[in-house]
Amino acid sequence: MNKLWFTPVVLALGLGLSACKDKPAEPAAGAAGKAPVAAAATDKVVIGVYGGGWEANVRAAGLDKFAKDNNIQVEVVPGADAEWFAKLRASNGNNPPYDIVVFQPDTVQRAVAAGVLEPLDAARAPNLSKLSSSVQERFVTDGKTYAAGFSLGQLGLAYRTDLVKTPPTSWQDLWKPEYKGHVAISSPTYAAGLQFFAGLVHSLGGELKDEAAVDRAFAKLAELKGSAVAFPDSPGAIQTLLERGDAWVVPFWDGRVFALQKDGMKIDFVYPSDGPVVGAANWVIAKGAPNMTNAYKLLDFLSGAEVQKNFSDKSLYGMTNRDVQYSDALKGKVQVGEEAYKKLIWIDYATATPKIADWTTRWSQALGGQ
Amino acid sequence: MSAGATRARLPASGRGFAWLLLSPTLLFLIAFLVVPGILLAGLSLRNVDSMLNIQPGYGLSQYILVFGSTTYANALFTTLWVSLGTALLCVLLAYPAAWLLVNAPTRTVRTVLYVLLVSPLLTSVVIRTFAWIVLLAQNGLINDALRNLGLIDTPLRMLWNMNAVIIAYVQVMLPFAVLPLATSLGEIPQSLSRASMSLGAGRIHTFFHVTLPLTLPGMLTGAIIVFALAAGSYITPLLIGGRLQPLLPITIYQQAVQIANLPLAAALSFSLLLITGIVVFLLGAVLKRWEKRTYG
Repeated sequence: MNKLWFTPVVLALGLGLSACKDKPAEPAAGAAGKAPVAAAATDKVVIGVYGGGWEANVRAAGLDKFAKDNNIQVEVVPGADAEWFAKLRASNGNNPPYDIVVFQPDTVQRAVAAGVLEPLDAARAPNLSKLSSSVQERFVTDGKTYAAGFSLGQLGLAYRTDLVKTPPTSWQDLWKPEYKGHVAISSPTYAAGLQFFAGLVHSLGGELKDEAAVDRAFAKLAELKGSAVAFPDSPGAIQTLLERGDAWVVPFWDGRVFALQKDGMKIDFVYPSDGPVVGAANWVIAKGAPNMTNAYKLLDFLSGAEVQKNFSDKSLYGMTNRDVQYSDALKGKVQVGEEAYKKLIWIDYATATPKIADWTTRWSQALGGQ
Repeated sequence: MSAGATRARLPASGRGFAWLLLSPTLLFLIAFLVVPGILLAGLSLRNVDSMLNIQPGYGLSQYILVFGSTTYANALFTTLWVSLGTALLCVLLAYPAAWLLVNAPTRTVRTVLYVLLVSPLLTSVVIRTFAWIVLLAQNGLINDALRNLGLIDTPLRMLWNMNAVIIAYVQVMLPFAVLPLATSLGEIPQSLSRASMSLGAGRIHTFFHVTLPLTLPGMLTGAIIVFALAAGSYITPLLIGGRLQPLLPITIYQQAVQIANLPLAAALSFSLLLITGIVVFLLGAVLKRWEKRTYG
């Protein structure tokens, strides 16, 4: 219980401390357009990864091996975008607390705008050239690439095979009377929710930039009022809903669903005919990273086909390295390869980010509290 | 809380000693509550650009957003009412429990009851909240039991609404209402109710005119604690009520953790702090007046 009041205090403290750091007197390395001098090699690297299963998978995929083989101390910090981004912003390219972290595409864009990311030098990470071009082109700003795509989650529809008579095939199937009272969708504040919203807008023949198309999507959402039973805000919540049978059909990512299926849940996944939406995890290097040499080394390692195959075997996600030899089990289920990736819907975050608050409000009004 | 009116003034040297005793606590509070609070206040006065990145300069734009949009203002007042409702329910339900504690026949029984009351606090709030999901879900314990008894055909929808949130709040926070109330009840001399009865008042009349007024401080203390906890908790409403509940802590969580719009999250936090502060102050004022009236 005391956790309840303690959390905001700790949060405030974290914010406070990060805001406390004074601006350095001397200019940071790489300021004023000077190319940063390659720092002397250090013996450690700090990496931020998503917690839980993600962390276990990426460690097993090669992170632990990397530490042993190169005799580098790899410090793994589990967490999420918001926290890492806040800390990178607070350090402002001057000795940030992390060298390399995993970001969603929207955070990549905001971090580029905030100027806290290192533009990636392809010469220092040769494997970057092997990554899917339809993914990498998303991270180019002013001719510089700022992120390396890693796993490429695709948002589609998860459904309970034992409770649903006819499996859904498209985003618009969520409105079927058959599923009434057993649909769950996430709010635009959560990645899966915003991706679903983008999928819906595209499914109705528009795009996020187009105000009229957005209005149409909200009108359509309002029709879901009695159908939707819950509005989960995290992967854990979605998993619980499906497990308990409260929800039969939920927008969720392919890898997550196949992993649950592997654990014995009666569940399957459908790539909607009107276009799955990208939910990618991407590596970025912090500007002024204290262990820059190792950060590049690790980035190159994580972008290699072998590590990505290992990660894909465990997480059941499609990956960005074109040379990954997927297992047969995965190939039968997951849509992988440049052909499939080209068809994916990418969220236009330049449009979406400024509108998030407004869309969240409209979303709540469309679906109405009980 | 109730210091009484006969507050003896310490001699000057004693006052210095009192400050010395207070200093560790004060230092802790200044370092970990006041300073971060001031920093957070500064953060709430920043503006953001279209990418939600913090801009230089200060302004009231975030507060204008909070009080100028019906959504956030609505959430603020819903939070207030739900927290007050939870506090009221907790106090009502705490009464019989506290009465049982005070009138336990033996010391052993009383100890057992105390252990029972406090034991839920030993489990994390997340786990207790999840237990409610297991109970209330479509194929949860309650629905299954009702279906097996043949009372319902289709499962009742008990989760994901405000009622579920209030039920879980009350269960999680009840002990905080019982403890101060039990203390209040225990302090009432037995002779008072006997005197009232000997003067011809019935049991019910005695309760309403003697016992109830004397336990008011306990009730108010419990209500204040529960209200403050309910107004600030986001885990329970998020897990049980879901995203659609217009409660401010959920909104703050989303802005801080999910969207990383820190200035808005800070402004929302301060607005919530202000409103709950006013309510707690008012409840405290009622308590003070009551003490004045009773003890002169």
